Amino acid sequence: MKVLTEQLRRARSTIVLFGRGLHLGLAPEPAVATVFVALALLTAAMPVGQVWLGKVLLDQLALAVGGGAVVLSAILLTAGLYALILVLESALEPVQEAITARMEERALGEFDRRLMAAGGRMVDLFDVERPSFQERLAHAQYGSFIVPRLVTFLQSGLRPFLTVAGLLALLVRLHPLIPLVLVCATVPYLISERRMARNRHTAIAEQSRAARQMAYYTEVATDPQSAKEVRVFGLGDLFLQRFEERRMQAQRQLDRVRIAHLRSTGLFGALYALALGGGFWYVAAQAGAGQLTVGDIALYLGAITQSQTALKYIGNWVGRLHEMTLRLDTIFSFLDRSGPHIALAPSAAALDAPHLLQDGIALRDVTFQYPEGESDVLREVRATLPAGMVTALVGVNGAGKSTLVKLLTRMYDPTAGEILLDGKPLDAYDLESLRRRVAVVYQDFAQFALSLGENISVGEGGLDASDERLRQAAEWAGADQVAAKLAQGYDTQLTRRFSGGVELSGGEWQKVALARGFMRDAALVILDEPTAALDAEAEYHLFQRFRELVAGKTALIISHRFSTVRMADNILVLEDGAVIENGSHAELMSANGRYATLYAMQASWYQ
Amino acid sequence: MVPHHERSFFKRAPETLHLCRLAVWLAWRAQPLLAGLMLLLIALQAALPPLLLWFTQALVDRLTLDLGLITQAPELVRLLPLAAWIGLAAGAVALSQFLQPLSATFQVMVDDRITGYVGRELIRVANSWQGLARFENPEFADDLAHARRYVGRGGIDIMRSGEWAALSLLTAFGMAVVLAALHPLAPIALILLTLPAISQRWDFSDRMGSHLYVQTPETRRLEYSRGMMLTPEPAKDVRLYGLLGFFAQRYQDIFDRTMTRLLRVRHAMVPRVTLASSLATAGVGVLWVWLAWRVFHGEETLGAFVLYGGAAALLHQQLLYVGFQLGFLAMAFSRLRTLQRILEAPPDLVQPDQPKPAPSPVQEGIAFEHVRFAYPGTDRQVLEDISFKLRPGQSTALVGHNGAGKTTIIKLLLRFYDPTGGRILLDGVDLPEYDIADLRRRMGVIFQDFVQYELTAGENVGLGKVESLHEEEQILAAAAKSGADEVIEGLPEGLATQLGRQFGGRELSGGEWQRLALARGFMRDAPLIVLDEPTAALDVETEYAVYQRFHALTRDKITVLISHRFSTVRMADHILYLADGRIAEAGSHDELLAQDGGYARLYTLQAEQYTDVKRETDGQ
Repeated sequence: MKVLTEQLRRARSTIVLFGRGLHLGLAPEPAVATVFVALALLTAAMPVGQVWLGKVLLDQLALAVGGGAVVLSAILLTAGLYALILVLESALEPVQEAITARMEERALGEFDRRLMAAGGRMVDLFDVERPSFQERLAHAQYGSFIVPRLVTFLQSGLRPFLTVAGLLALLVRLHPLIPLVLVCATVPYLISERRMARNRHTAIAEQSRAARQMAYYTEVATDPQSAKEVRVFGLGDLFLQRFEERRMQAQRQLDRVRIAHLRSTGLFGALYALALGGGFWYVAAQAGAGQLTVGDIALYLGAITQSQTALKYIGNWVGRLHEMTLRLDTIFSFLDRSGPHIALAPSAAALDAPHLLQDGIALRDVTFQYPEGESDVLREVRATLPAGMVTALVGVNGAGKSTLVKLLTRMYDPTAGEILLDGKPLDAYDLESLRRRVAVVYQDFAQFALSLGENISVGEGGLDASDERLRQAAEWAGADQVAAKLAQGYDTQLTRRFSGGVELSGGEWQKVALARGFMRDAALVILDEPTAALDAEAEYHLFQRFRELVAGKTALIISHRFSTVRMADNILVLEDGAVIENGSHAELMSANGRYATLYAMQASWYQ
Repeated sequence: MVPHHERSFFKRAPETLHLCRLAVWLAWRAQPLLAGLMLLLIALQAALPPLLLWFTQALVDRLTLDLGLITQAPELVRLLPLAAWIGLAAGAVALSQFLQPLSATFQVMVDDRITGYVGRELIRVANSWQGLARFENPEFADDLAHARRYVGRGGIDIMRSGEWAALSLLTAFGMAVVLAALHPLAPIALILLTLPAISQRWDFSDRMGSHLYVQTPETRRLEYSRGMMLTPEPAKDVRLYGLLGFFAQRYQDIFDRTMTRLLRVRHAMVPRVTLASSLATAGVGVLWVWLAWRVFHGEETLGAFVLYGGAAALLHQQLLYVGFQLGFLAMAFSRLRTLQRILEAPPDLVQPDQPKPAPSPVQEGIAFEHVRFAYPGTDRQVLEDISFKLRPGQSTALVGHNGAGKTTIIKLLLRFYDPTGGRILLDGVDLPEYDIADLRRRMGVIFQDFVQYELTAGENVGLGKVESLHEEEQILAAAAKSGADEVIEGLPEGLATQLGRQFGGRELSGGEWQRLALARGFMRDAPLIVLDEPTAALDVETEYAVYQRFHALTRDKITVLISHRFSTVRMADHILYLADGRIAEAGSHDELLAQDGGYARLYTLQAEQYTDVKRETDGQ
């Protein structure tokens, strides 16, 4: 009893998951879906009709051969009907295929929209930056492959089910036990197929890491970006060897699963042959006893063979269904569980972020640890970014500077303490409105496979950036020179991801990223290492105009270049996750502390 | 769209045959035994349907004889009783049921192996190109990127459709032979009637066959837009700038455009395919009616009716199926074409028959003599008449604006390209005469766009000297020179910590990655050191510490340095100021300052910012 309820529960969850996936393809166009189902039913009935008409035709012909009373026109009518079914079947096939393809495409569109929306719900980086995320994402993205195929999959299962039912009904006339025996012979096969599907699923899941590693080695060995290093350091053979190791390992594992599967199908194949042989033997015995007409024999042999093939197919189908639902489970749970981890103000109470800051930003004992980190990256940071002023942040690699930027843009919430913007905690503001007032040029800014113009205009959300604004921002950042060098100017496709795209140098990309940041009419401007790849002249010009660019705005600059840092109104020195010095260049120099030491170190090279 | 669509099935036939050969060759190279077994199984499977039909014919004839409907029958039919014929038919069915999973398993196993084999070949062939010309050629880089993508996904797919197509073709052939016994024209007529259907079917599944799964330019764009909300790399920009709407819109635009086009093509094609398929099937129908008529008039036995009727139906079905499967093969074929271009690309750099070992130690150094260079396929002279010398124990800095030719000089120096004019000598011998692997072993290089390997921290450093990949002592010593030791100390598992996001490792900051890259360069005790913006992301102290050791690290060596930081440049013994592919100024820092030219101007621009005189340029 308990086993049965468990089985029922599992069957129900399978149906629910399958239905949920199928819904994506069927729901958008109900009329098309109806036609699809009707056609599936119609084509399923055809093999049964064919077997039946074949029997009638043979009986008529046998009668004629034996000199019985049968007219030619009756025979020709049957033969004609038979031919008609054949023609109808092949004529419907392309129609059916076209409809299926259309539904599959709709399903893909629907699924992808949900996937993107799930990404959109992850407004912070809590999930995205987790080490395990890449793997979860890969599983979820597989949905774009599998979900549309559910429609075809349904069709490929519906047909044999109906055909089998019809054929078995025909066989009842021969002997009621025969269909029963045929069905019973399928049950063990069905169970084993389900088990095999589960094994396959696990094997593939285990495999995915090896597969990704293989893909990675191929990438490093053949990618233009790593080509230089791979050649100079002579790494090609190493990656080839590692690829081979993983490949052999993966292959052995997959082979094991496949051979195990083959063994079990072989076993059940023998069972089948037995059932089939039994059926044929019964027909032979009946025929020998003169109980059957020629048509009957053809009918029964045909029905036994076909139903047996279809039953076997169904067994395999159910196994695949199980495998699919296991994958659908991961896919849908990704969609269902995606959401923000930062605190969001209820939209009614949420504040709009100001156009320009009045007081500025205050960090009150801000402590932060990454979700799976071992220690605090920031420890009780106390600092202010005064409104309308430029603040510079200085510190060694890994001191927590970029983390601070993530907190300011609410990619994470602090583990303790709070950040105030004009006296109100950051999370009191509407997230979208807040981010709209912040422009950041990240150290590892995104290089979009879009046109040059779009790479800049995405700084304004990308949808309605005016031409003039774009050109202005590009000029400020020096990206206009990049555009001038390209044959198609701002319309040039960037990155090599798509055919015909152009790759920019590090310095050129940096100008593009700067222009993106300048697109925004922001209250807070953050530049994280904005000039690391710029040549001396470009850097000089940028900072010559920087004051003008940020006039009235609050700015934060992170840099290792003290030429940049010293022009800030206010400088914060971050060390081991805490602010240790704070003041203007002159103040910090005369305090003769950490900042002064670092400054002297760099300036000495120019003396 | 994909241009080959414009050509019809028949025009593509010769190319198709050629690619088929390539596919079989790949399968053979990947796993001869399994591939051979698979071919054998296909032949066996194809032989079964005619056999089954023939047993059925004998069965029916024997039965009609037993029932007394006819009195004459061939000797063979009389040989066995009815039950035996039924048994034989059952045996044939059972055998085909047994063979089918067997061949399906072999098929996926061969497929696995082809994918693995192609992946390996891709790496092996790429390794055989010692220069950069192939990688920097946009079309070739495209090819490589495509091949990488589908190999990574196990998507060669030649076997999946290919095996079925072959099986169908063979089965159809068997049926044609059977039908020829009825009338030699019968199979010919049926095949001719089916040809338009095959051709239409090919085009149909080629264009319609679930277009959104296979890798077309559109699907790659769809995938890109879809991934933007999810992938970690651009996550910050995408969230800050609120780009969900932008990319969702872009996705929708491409999707709608693709759908509209597909629907249009589909509407145009469905009636044509339907008509062609109906025509082909009608042929079978006519044959059936004709057969029935002949049986009625006693010109054929009932067994012959079953035999020929069955054969005609099967021939027709299998031929249509060939068209269907071949349509899916079109995509596999376009991949094969790409693969072919890659796998058959010749080595890029000329290798001497008897390469010289690289000199150790280097005596005279390196000399550029009137070197000119234009990238392959372009006319623009990137370097014009460049001559200079690099001597052991001397450091040289290359300075100039972005695009002045600094990086190109480095590429020639490392022999990623050979110059188009002039020559580069190492100890008086032309670079191409040396063994390239040996030559490269003598170079320690740190690139501006260094690689962040998704491997362990230790491997990230150790890769600088592969033979010492796991020599902890050497790795830690190199790490200490670049400040990477501090990075490693901060990692939970030290050298063994997995880095990067792809495999769930630790993500480092830009400066931390650069320290590891520097350490990688220091792994080698090479006589030639090339530093391309080696400290751009480093903090002051680390940079200071690295340059404090600069002279110790580069003593007795040939050092070439590129930097935008004049604090670094001025440390070099010799400075080359490049402008527009020529050496505009050359000399020591002091000499160039005294010249008061382009170098002096750039230097002053930067140095001024560190002078403690309060300037009024800011805050106006």
